[in-house]
Amino acid sequence: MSEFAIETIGLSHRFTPADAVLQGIHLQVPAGSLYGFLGPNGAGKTTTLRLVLGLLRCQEGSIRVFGEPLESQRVALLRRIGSSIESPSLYAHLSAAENLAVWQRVFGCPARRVGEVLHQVGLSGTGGKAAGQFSLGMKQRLGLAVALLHQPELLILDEPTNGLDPHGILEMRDLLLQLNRDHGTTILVSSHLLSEVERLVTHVGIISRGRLKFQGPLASLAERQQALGRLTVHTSDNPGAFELLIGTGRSACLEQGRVLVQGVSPIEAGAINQQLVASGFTVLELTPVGRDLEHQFFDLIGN
Amino acid sequence: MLPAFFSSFQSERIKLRRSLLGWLILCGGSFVPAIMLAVRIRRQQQLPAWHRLGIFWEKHWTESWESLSIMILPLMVVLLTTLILQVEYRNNTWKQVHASPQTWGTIFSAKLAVVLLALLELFVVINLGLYLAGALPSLLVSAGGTTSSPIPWLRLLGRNAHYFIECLPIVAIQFMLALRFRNFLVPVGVGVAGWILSLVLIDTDYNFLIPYNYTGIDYLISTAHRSGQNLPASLWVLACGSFAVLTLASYALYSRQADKG
Repeated sequence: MSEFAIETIGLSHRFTPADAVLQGIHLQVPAGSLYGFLGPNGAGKTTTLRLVLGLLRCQEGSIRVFGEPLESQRVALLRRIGSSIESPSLYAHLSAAENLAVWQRVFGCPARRVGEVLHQVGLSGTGGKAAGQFSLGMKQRLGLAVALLHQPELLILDEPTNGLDPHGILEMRDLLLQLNRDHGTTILVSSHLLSEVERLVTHVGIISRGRLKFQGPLASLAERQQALGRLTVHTSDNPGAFELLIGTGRSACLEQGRVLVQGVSPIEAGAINQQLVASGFTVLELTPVGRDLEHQFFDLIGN
Repeated sequence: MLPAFFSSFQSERIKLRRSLLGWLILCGGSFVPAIMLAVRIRRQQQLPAWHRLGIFWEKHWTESWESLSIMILPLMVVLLTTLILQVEYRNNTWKQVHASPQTWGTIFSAKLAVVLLALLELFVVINLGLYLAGALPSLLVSAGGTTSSPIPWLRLLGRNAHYFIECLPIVAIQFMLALRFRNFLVPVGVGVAGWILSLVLIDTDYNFLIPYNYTGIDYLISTAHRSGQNLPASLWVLACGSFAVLTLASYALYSRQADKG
């Protein structure tokens, strides 16, 4: 069995000769992981997902799913993948059960799965109501139900929490965590909700302007942040504190009247505090900058 | 391959539940029979003579199929095909269809089979309607007498088969257009334009060039209004041949489409 559920090598794509949407993407989604695929609008997230699902013809590079080439094993691989790309693909004139019955025939899964997944996503009580009359959150759930119907080994979800209220987001997160934990389902989630991704994923890929800026375990992103962590220091004498810290070999600058120290871990922050106090400075503020995923994200896409 | 086709076909049929397709077939197929029923009741004095001569059903059939073959069938094929293919565009579900474990051939053939089945259902509704339009006057109007004329089943089935085959080129063209273009006005517009052009040419020696009225040409030949000598081959051969070529071309365009989202 391949180490990676999805692996792309040198994946590039252009919609027009002048418009390179993807440039040399080496995506590696480890099998059994919860992979967060992050990027601003127009970064190339959806284009990448569509290429992985075979919705776009691969122009340059290669795509392997479960270690098998997508181009030659498309149908067999799609049988193991569940997906929801962009807006949920639902037949508005059909009920939730009828929508699932459409795909139950295609996937050849037992008819009882329709009731099971409806219960799983909380849509058991919709009866004969047409899907076109559902709220956005209900449509999102039904889209997820379609993706889960055949118990896939790999789930590819594009903005799965779009339109869900906080309770719904929590339920979605719990469901995805349970699928990953209990069934070993590899889940690739693209999202703009950085705070949600941070609480959900084990691995992260950050894409910007068609290039993969970072990829790896979430823990390594945190380590990167610690290595690049910054500390804002506000004392009774900021220019003096700046001189002291520069003199001790720290990388620092004065910014908006405060001292900004580069490459500081939490332990080092304590040491800086002790050093300043010992030198007679009154420390008024000691604030770590950019420890969360959001700051990391904006740092990477900004570079 | 066959199990996958049947599963796909079943799923395609489910997609058409609660759609307008059923109403389109019912209303489109009943339109001419309803008019013929009114005509039979209005001209009830003709009926006893036709029945005495045993030619009632032949006359009834011939009169009914004039407008059906020239006008109703071509336009109904245009509308049926467009409506069936529009389900995916209207619901933005092509990406889900193409991300499902089906070959392009399975998807293409299942959708084509649904269109052909809908056309068959249209023929059933038309024939049922024509039967009722022929049989009901005798029940409603005493002067009509009994329908003593025997129904030439084999001949009528044969004529139905002719018209069904001759609709196939229209199915192929409309299927190709409706598959390719999101905007329904393109296949409907091209279909209506093609039908009008075929009407303009129907009484000329070039009438076979536009396949939108093979059914009308067949009607004119069967009722001796045209000889059919201008045709390079029989209408069946022309219809089957153009259907095969157009369907293969349609599949080639569909399977090679770079963006299937």
